[in-house]
Amino acid sequence: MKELKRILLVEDSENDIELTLEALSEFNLANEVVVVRDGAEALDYLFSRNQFASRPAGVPVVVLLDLKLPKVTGVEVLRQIKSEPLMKVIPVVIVTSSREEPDLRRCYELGCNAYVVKPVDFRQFADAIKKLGCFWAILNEPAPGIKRGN
Amino acid sequence: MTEMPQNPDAASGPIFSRMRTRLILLVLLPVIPMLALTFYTNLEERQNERARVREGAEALSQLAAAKEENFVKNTRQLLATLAEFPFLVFSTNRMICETHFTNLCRLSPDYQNFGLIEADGTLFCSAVKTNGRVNVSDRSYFQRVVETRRFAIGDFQVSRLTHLPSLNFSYPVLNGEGALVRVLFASLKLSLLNDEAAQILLPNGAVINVIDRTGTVLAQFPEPERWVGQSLTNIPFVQQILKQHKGTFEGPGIDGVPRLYAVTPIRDGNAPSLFVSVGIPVHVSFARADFILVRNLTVLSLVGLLTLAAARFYGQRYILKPVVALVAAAKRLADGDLKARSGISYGGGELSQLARAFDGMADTLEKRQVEIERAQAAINQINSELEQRVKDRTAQLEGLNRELEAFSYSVSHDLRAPLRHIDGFAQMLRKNSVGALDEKSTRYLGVIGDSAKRMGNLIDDLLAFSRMGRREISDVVVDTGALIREIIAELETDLRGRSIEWSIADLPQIRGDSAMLRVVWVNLISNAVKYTRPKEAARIEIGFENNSSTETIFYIRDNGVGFDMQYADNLFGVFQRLHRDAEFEGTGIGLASVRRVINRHGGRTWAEGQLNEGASFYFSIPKPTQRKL
Repeated sequence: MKELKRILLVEDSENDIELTLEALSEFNLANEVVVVRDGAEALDYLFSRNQFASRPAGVPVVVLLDLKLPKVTGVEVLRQIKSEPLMKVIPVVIVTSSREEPDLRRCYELGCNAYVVKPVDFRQFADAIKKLGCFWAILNEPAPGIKRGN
Repeated sequence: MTEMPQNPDAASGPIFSRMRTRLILLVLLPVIPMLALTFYTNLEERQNERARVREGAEALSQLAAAKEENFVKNTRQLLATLAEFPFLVFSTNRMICETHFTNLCRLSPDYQNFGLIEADGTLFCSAVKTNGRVNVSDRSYFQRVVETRRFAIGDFQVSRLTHLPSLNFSYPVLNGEGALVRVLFASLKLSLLNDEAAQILLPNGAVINVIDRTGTVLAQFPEPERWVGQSLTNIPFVQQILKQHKGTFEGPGIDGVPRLYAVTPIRDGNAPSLFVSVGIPVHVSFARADFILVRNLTVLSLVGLLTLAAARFYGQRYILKPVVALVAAAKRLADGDLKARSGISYGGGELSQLARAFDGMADTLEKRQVEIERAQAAINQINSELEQRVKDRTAQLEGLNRELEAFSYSVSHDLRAPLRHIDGFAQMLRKNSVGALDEKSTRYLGVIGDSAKRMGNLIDDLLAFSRMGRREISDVVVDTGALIREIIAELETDLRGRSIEWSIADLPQIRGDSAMLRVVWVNLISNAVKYTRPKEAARIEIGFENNSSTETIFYIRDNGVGFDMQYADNLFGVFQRLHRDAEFEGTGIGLASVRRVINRHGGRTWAEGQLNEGASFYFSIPKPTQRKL
């Protein structure tokens, strides 16, 4: 039985969200995509806190994390995820506009699993999203002990 | 630091160049002629003495001779007088003769005998009685008178009659025809001669002697007993007298003592018969001159010593001491003690002037040193201020740099996002409106998307270009050949389907920033690849020139579409293009980046081209010695 694999999308730009969802749906990645719009919400969701206290159990198979976020930055979210024993096994893919070296270095040092730069070209962008979705949600084996969402 | 001892005795250079030695020599200099004069005077004195002595001796000798001659004269007189009495001289009565002669002896005690001699030499009668026949024909006084028929002086003899040493005189008795018939004689006591001689005042060590013509000493003073009667013909002294007869000579006397002798002859008639000589010892005569010499030398030495002492004292006090003090002060000054002064009081002389000049110089040096130190302090102050300013400016610039970093970071995020949206939604609109839109609208949507993409490219290029200018340039060895091979390998995808003939020289290693130089080559090579696309057989040549000692020149030549040299100035401008975007894609930032990097390396960029023939791009990299990064 194919289980639904939840994707957590952390992105503050509505347009980018729409584009991402459009790309994902284009390829029939009928996954449950949870969208949060800032770093605090991302952490709340992951740690089942506050407004997400009663969310369905389970962790996402991948977190698509933008760096430029209000409230809590993407880097901070990454750090928290990767320092929490239960959370750090969750793959985090940084999806951002910046190709700046400092950003790259910092994210990899903190343990991100991949770093993808958002191209301006929509076709390329969609392509990238598709590949990410295919890989992490379908191909990749999640870490054991992570409850599959239902 | 130990002080140089101001010891004037300390050796300072070779002995003859030392001032003190020179002073001493100077002082002693006049002494030398004085010394010479003293000795010369002594010599002169001696000569004078000698002359004086000679004169004295001569005088004395003449005096003595005169005195001795008296006896001769008196005797002659006496005998001549007696010869006038025929009764006496022609007497045949012996007894009467004897009586007369005896009376004569009594009357003239100088004589020890008087007598008459026959022409054949037999003694007729004499005051001294004889016992037998006495013949005196062998006696010189007899022979002489017979020969000359005049008054004659005899030689030393010991009388046969008296057995005493005596000197005989003879007088001829002539008859009416002038023939000699008898000889009158008188026998003089030799002691008289001595007594006479003794009475003459002689200087110390002087001698008188009387010698007869046979070389026998008749009289000698002093020590008559020793010499009288001795025949001394062997002695050079006697020989000299007999030879010289008259005058002066020097030499050892009878007793061997060297003297200056003056000889005076006593004659009987013509020939000299007796020689009276007076000898004065030479050394005695020089006594006075030598005394004067010693006296003068002593005085001279004393004076010399005094002068030396005075010169030494003077030299020490007024010359050496100040000079040494000056030398020490100069040394201290040279060693760095700028407070060193001569310490000499300013009097009038040249040394005082020197000291004053020296002190003045030291003052100036000290003052100048103070000025130098002040200036140095000011310089240090300025330096530290400058450093501070540099630090501030650097901090400022670093701040600016950080701001720019933040700016470009922001740009890279914030500008790209809307562009993405524009393109994305345009695409989605196109997808959604398949069939609903006509061709023109579809095309419009395409333009919107393309424009957004283009803007994205521009932004990327601008960001890269700006990064090129801000990054710190490094200085490492760059293997150009390897770099180019790498770049060409990376361009594989772009080269697919292309046939390009590569002609790459054995490129040298250079010093520079490897990342930046990579950008240069990437841009140049991708340009060459791009603009040779229309050509079937593309040829790209990469080479270098190493003719200059100051820089290395690289070039890349292609046979692509080239460009019009008229617009060559624009080539390296930011966003400047000579071709339309439809012909060749690109933002026009590539060559601008190249120029920027090369400029930062201190080199130059230029290009040559011919439309449709190809283009050549050159850049120079200064060699390490010239590098000013």
